[in-house]
Amino acid sequence: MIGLQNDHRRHPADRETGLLPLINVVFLLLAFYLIAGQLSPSAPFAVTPPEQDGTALETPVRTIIHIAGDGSVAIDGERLEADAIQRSIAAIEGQGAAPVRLVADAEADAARVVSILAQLRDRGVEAVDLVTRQP
Amino acid sequence: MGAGPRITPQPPPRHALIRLTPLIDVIFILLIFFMLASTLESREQISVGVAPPAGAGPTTADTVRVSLEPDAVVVDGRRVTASAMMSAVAAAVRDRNARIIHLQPQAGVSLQTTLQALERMRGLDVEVSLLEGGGEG
Repeated sequence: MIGLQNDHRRHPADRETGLLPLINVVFLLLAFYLIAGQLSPSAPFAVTPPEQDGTALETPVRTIIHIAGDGSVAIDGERLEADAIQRSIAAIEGQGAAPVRLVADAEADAARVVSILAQLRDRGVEAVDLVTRQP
Repeated sequence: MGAGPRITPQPPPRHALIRLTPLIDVIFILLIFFMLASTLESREQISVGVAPPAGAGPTTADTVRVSLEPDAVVVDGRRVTASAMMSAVAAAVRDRNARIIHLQPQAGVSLQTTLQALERMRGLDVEVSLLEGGGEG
Protein backbone atom coordinates (compact mmCIF):
# COMPACT_ATOMS: atom_id res chain seq x y z
CA MET A 1 0.00 0.00 0.00
CA ILE A 2 2.64 2.42 1.03
CA GLY A 3 4.77 1.50 -1.92
CA LEU A 4 1.83 2.22 -4.21
CA GLN A 5 1.25 5.59 -2.59
CA ASN A 6 4.89 6.31 -3.00
CA ASP A 7 4.69 5.55 -6.72
CA HIS A 8 1.57 7.62 -6.99
CA ARG A 9 3.31 10.62 -5.45
CA ARG A 10 6.43 10.25 -7.48
CA HIS A 11 4.72 10.26 -10.83
CA PRO A 12 3.64 13.95 -10.94
CA ALA A 13 7.07 14.96 -9.69
CA ASP A 14 8.74 13.00 -12.47
CA ARG A 15 6.43 14.62 -14.96
CA GLU A 16 7.32 18.03 -13.56
CA THR A 17 11.06 17.48 -13.90
CA GLY A 18 10.33 17.26 -17.62
CA LEU A 19 9.10 20.85 -17.39
CA LEU A 20 12.43 22.18 -16.16
CA PRO A 21 13.79 23.10 -19.64
CA LEU A 22 10.52 24.93 -20.31
CA ILE A 23 10.85 26.88 -17.07
CA ASN A 24 14.44 27.74 -17.96
CA VAL A 25 13.35 29.21 -21.26
CA VAL A 26 10.42 31.07 -19.73
CA PHE A 27 12.70 32.50 -17.02
CA LEU A 28 15.12 33.69 -19.68
CA LEU A 29 12.28 35.38 -21.61
CA LEU A 30 11.03 36.95 -18.38
CA ALA A 31 14.49 38.28 -17.56
CA PHE A 32 14.83 39.62 -21.12
CA TYR A 33 11.58 41.58 -20.94
CA LEU A 34 12.39 42.84 -17.45
CA ILE A 35 15.75 44.20 -18.58
CA ALA A 36 15.03 45.28 -22.16
CA GLY A 37 11.50 46.59 -21.73
CA GLN A 38 10.54 49.98 -20.43
CA LEU A 39 7.45 50.52 -18.37
CA SER A 40 5.96 53.98 -18.56
CA PRO A 41 2.49 55.50 -18.71
CA SER A 42 1.25 55.13 -22.25
CA ALA A 43 -0.39 57.91 -24.21
CA PRO A 44 -4.11 57.80 -24.91
CA PHE A 45 -3.22 58.42 -28.59
CA ALA A 46 -0.54 57.30 -31.01
CA VAL A 47 2.74 59.20 -30.67
CA THR A 48 5.75 58.61 -32.92
CA PRO A 49 8.72 60.59 -31.60
CA PRO A 50 11.01 62.35 -34.08
CA GLU A 51 14.12 60.58 -35.32
CA GLN A 52 17.22 61.95 -33.69
CA ASP A 53 20.30 60.55 -32.00
CA GLY A 54 20.29 61.22 -28.30
CA THR A 55 21.30 59.79 -24.97
CA ALA A 56 19.75 56.96 -22.98
CA LEU A 57 16.41 57.72 -21.34
CA GLU A 58 16.77 59.11 -17.86
CA THR A 59 14.76 57.76 -14.95
CA PRO A 60 13.01 58.64 -12.77
CA VAL A 61 10.98 61.43 -14.27
CA ARG A 62 8.60 63.79 -12.55
CA THR A 63 5.89 63.85 -15.16
CA ILE A 64 5.43 62.59 -18.70
CA ILE A 65 3.73 64.90 -21.18
CA HIS A 66 2.52 63.47 -24.49
CA ILE A 67 1.77 65.66 -27.51
CA ALA A 68 0.02 64.08 -30.49
CA GLY A 69 0.46 65.02 -34.13
CA ASP A 70 -2.84 66.92 -34.05
CA GLY A 71 -1.79 68.92 -30.97
CA SER A 72 -3.68 66.91 -28.34
CA VAL A 73 -1.93 66.91 -24.99
CA ALA A 74 -1.91 64.25 -22.28
CA ILE A 75 -0.21 64.58 -18.93
CA ASP A 76 0.69 61.31 -17.17
CA GLY A 77 -1.47 59.40 -19.63
CA GLU A 78 -4.55 61.54 -19.11
CA ARG A 79 -5.89 63.47 -22.09
CA LEU A 80 -6.54 67.12 -21.28
CA GLU A 81 -8.53 69.92 -22.80
CA ALA A 82 -6.87 73.26 -23.58
CA ASP A 83 -7.86 75.01 -20.33
CA ALA A 84 -6.92 72.00 -18.19
CA ILE A 85 -3.41 71.88 -19.68
CA GLN A 86 -2.32 75.12 -18.06
CA ARG A 87 -3.73 74.09 -14.72
CA SER A 88 -1.97 70.74 -14.88
CA ILE A 89 1.31 72.34 -15.87
CA ALA A 90 0.92 74.75 -12.97
CA ALA A 91 0.53 71.75 -10.66
CA ILE A 92 3.84 70.28 -11.82
CA GLU A 93 5.74 73.04 -10.06
CA GLY A 94 7.56 72.11 -6.91
CA GLN A 95 7.11 68.37 -7.21
CA GLY A 96 10.80 67.63 -7.00
CA ALA A 97 13.96 67.93 -8.98
CA ALA A 98 13.50 65.07 -11.44
CA PRO A 99 13.17 66.13 -15.07
CA VAL A 100 9.93 66.32 -17.00
CA ARG A 101 9.77 64.00 -19.99
CA LEU A 102 8.14 65.28 -23.15
CA VAL A 103 7.04 62.75 -25.75
CA ALA A 104 5.92 64.65 -28.82
CA ASP A 105 4.96 63.34 -32.24
CA ALA A 106 7.39 64.03 -35.09
CA GLU A 107 4.56 65.68 -37.05
CA ALA A 108 3.37 67.84 -34.16
CA ASP A 109 3.52 71.58 -34.69
CA ALA A 110 6.88 72.69 -33.29
CA ALA A 111 5.41 76.05 -32.24
CA ARG A 112 2.89 74.15 -30.09
CA VAL A 113 5.65 72.06 -28.48
CA VAL A 114 7.75 75.17 -27.81
CA SER A 115 4.76 76.92 -26.24
CA ILE A 116 4.33 73.95 -23.83
CA LEU A 117 8.07 74.10 -23.11
CA ALA A 118 7.78 77.83 -22.43
CA GLN A 119 4.89 77.23 -20.03
CA LEU A 120 6.99 74.66 -18.20
CA ARG A 121 9.90 77.06 -17.99
CA ASP A 122 7.57 79.76 -16.62
CA ARG A 123 6.61 77.34 -13.85
CA GLY A 124 10.25 76.88 -12.97
CA VAL A 125 10.78 73.53 -14.66
CA GLU A 126 14.32 73.78 -15.97
CA ALA A 127 15.05 70.21 -17.03
CA VAL A 128 12.92 68.92 -19.87
CA ASP A 129 13.90 65.81 -21.80
CA LEU A 130 12.49 65.42 -25.26
CA VAL A 131 12.10 61.80 -26.32
CA THR A 132 13.41 60.81 -29.73
CA ARG A 133 13.71 57.52 -31.54
CA GLN A 134 16.88 56.17 -33.05
CA PRO A 135 17.11 56.87 -36.78
CA MET B 1 9.57 -5.65 7.09
CA GLY B 2 7.37 -3.45 9.16
CA ALA B 3 10.14 -0.86 9.61
CA GLY B 4 11.18 -0.78 5.97
CA PRO B 5 8.06 0.88 4.53
CA ARG B 6 8.12 3.44 7.36
CA ILE B 7 11.49 4.66 6.21
CA THR B 8 10.83 4.70 2.49
CA PRO B 9 8.04 7.33 2.60
CA GLN B 10 10.56 9.90 3.79
CA PRO B 11 11.86 11.01 0.36
CA PRO B 12 8.50 12.44 -0.86
CA PRO B 13 8.80 15.78 1.07
CA ARG B 14 11.75 16.53 -1.22
CA HIS B 15 9.34 16.53 -4.16
CA ALA B 16 6.56 18.26 -2.30
CA LEU B 17 8.70 21.23 -1.28
CA ILE B 18 7.72 23.40 -4.28
CA ARG B 19 5.28 22.21 -6.88
CA LEU B 20 6.43 23.31 -10.30
CA THR B 21 3.07 23.65 -12.01
CA PRO B 22 1.79 26.64 -9.96
CA LEU B 23 5.25 28.17 -10.27
CA ILE B 24 5.06 27.93 -14.05
CA ASP B 25 1.58 29.43 -13.97
CA VAL B 26 2.83 32.46 -12.10
CA ILE B 27 5.92 32.85 -14.28
CA PHE B 28 3.81 32.66 -17.43
CA ILE B 29 1.49 35.34 -16.12
CA LEU B 30 4.47 37.56 -15.28
CA LEU B 31 5.94 36.91 -18.72
CA ILE B 32 2.71 37.84 -20.47
CA PHE B 33 2.40 40.98 -18.32
CA PHE B 34 5.88 42.20 -19.20
CA MET B 35 5.48 41.31 -22.87
CA LEU B 36 2.30 43.37 -23.12
CA ALA B 37 3.20 46.25 -20.82
CA SER B 38 6.73 47.04 -21.91
CA THR B 39 7.91 48.81 -25.01
CA LEU B 40 10.97 47.37 -26.68
CA GLU B 41 11.40 50.16 -29.20
CA SER B 42 14.63 51.95 -28.39
CA ARG B 43 13.90 55.48 -27.28
CA GLU B 44 16.44 58.14 -26.56
CA GLN B 45 16.26 61.67 -25.28
CA ILE B 46 17.76 65.07 -25.93
CA SER B 47 17.57 68.00 -23.57
CA VAL B 48 15.96 71.09 -24.96
CA GLY B 49 16.17 74.58 -23.56
CA VAL B 50 13.72 77.39 -24.12
CA ALA B 51 15.05 80.94 -24.25
CA PRO B 52 13.34 83.59 -22.12
CA PRO B 53 10.82 85.73 -24.04
CA ALA B 54 12.37 88.37 -26.27
CA GLY B 55 13.41 91.39 -24.26
CA ALA B 56 13.69 89.53 -20.96
CA GLY B 57 16.87 87.67 -21.77
CA PRO B 58 20.26 88.74 -23.05
CA THR B 59 19.35 89.04 -26.71
CA THR B 60 22.52 90.87 -27.48
CA ALA B 61 24.91 90.98 -30.36
CA ASP B 62 26.15 87.45 -29.74
CA THR B 63 22.72 85.94 -30.41
CA VAL B 64 21.64 84.86 -33.87
CA ARG B 65 17.92 84.48 -34.34
CA VAL B 66 16.77 81.82 -36.79
CA SER B 67 13.08 81.66 -37.61
CA LEU B 68 11.85 78.46 -39.25
CA GLU B 69 8.93 78.89 -41.62
CA PRO B 70 7.15 76.16 -43.54
CA ASP B 71 8.85 77.06 -46.83
CA ALA B 72 11.77 79.29 -45.87
CA VAL B 73 14.17 80.22 -43.10
CA VAL B 74 14.78 83.73 -41.76
CA VAL B 75 18.31 84.18 -40.41
CA ASP B 76 18.70 87.52 -38.63
CA GLY B 77 15.91 89.03 -40.70
CA ARG B 78 17.31 87.74 -43.97
CA ARG B 79 15.09 85.24 -45.77
CA VAL B 80 16.87 82.24 -47.29
CA THR B 81 15.74 78.88 -48.64
CA ALA B 82 15.74 75.85 -46.36
CA SER B 83 18.67 74.31 -48.22
CA ALA B 84 20.79 77.43 -47.74
CA MET B 85 19.95 77.63 -44.04
CA MET B 86 23.11 76.10 -42.62
CA SER B 87 25.52 78.18 -44.68
CA ALA B 88 23.60 81.36 -43.79
CA VAL B 89 23.57 80.46 -40.08
CA ALA B 90 27.26 79.50 -40.11
CA ALA B 91 28.11 82.81 -41.81
CA ALA B 92 26.04 84.78 -39.29
CA VAL B 93 27.67 83.00 -36.36
CA ARG B 94 31.15 83.60 -37.78
CA ASP B 95 30.56 87.27 -38.67
CA ARG B 96 29.14 88.21 -35.29
CA ASN B 97 31.20 85.81 -33.23
CA ALA B 98 27.89 84.56 -31.84
CA ARG B 99 27.65 82.06 -29.00
CA ILE B 100 23.89 81.63 -28.88
CA ILE B 101 21.33 80.72 -31.52
CA HIS B 102 17.65 81.26 -30.85
CA LEU B 103 15.62 78.90 -32.98
CA GLN B 104 12.05 80.03 -33.44
CA PRO B 105 9.74 77.58 -35.22
CA GLN B 106 6.66 79.19 -36.74
CA ALA B 107 3.24 77.56 -36.95
CA GLY B 108 3.16 74.82 -39.55
CA VAL B 109 6.72 73.60 -39.02
CA SER B 110 6.94 70.03 -37.75
CA LEU B 111 8.90 69.01 -34.68
CA GLN B 112 11.04 66.68 -36.81
CA THR B 113 12.18 69.56 -39.02
CA THR B 114 12.89 71.73 -36.00
CA LEU B 115 14.93 69.05 -34.24
CA GLN B 116 16.98 68.40 -37.36
CA ALA B 117 17.79 72.10 -37.60
CA LEU B 118 18.53 72.21 -33.87
CA GLU B 119 20.99 69.32 -34.02
CA ARG B 120 22.75 70.67 -37.09
CA MET B 121 23.16 74.07 -35.43
CA ARG B 122 24.52 72.45 -32.27
CA GLY B 123 27.22 71.09 -34.54
CA LEU B 124 28.41 74.70 -35.00
CA ASP B 125 29.64 74.66 -31.40
CA VAL B 126 27.14 77.23 -30.16
CA GLU B 127 24.35 77.08 -27.60
CA VAL B 128 21.01 76.57 -29.32
CA SER B 129 17.79 77.45 -27.51
CA LEU B 130 14.24 77.30 -28.76
CA LEU B 131 12.30 80.52 -28.76
CA GLU B 132 8.58 80.85 -28.39
CA GLY B 133 6.62 83.29 -30.44
CA GLY B 134 6.02 83.97 -34.06
CA GLY B 135 2.70 83.04 -35.60
CA GLU B 136 0.43 81.60 -32.94
CA GLY B 137 2.52 82.12 -29.82
